[in-house]
Amino acid sequence: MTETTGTNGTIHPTTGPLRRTVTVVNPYGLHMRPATDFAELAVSGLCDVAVWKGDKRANGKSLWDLIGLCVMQNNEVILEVDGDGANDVINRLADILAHPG
Amino acid sequence: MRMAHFIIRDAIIPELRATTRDNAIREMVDALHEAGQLPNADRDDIVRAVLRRETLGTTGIGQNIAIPHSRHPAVGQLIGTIAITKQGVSFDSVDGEPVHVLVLLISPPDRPGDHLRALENVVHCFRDEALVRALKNATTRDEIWRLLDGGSEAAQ
Repeated sequence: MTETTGTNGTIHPTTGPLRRTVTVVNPYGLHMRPATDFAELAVSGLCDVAVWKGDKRANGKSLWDLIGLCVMQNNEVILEVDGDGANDVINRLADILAHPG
Repeated sequence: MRMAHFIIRDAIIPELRATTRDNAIREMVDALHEAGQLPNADRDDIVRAVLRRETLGTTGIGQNIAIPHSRHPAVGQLIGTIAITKQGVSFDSVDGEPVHVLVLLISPPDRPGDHLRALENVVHCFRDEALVRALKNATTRDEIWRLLDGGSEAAQ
């Protein structure tokens, strides 16, 4: 798969989902409140959303999955968004993950 | 980390008396206090902290489960309790369903990792539908404890 890297660090594959690596800086990690915000935003759109921590994958529309990732401060996760409007969606979801709390 | 590692056995509530969210949280905080887990702590302050957290967004995560929680300096390590209510409590849950299984977590402000691991553990355990069903039907503290310690296999 060929890829180009955008100005904001997003990997734009020529096919398939957009991917971006995000560092969670919130001292409390991806706790229930931001995880709920994330899942609600993901559910509100038509894109497929996944969050990877290492080789563990969470469905981004599932609060249970997101809590199950146990993402702590300074953990890096890979955000993956696929579908119409993915560019806008990945920006908004990354903002939640990168929010300092 | 297993639920039995942070749930205080003597604070388990097999049948919650409360029928509202706020009273349920108070009853659970009281149970931790009566189990000797919150010595010299201002119980009202802990209840207020947990309720304040609820105003920021529900901890009713769906499938009849809620995990109300707060950080509070009254505890030196993460503690929790579990309460079962057959009649259900309205928690404004993400799926709109009443809550039948509540897990209250109180964690020290400086140990966010423990809180995240406990949340992960609770969610992991409650993916086991047989366990949740068994918990909903449990009637005694010992029965609930065995389920938390042994998973749904203990229900069979």
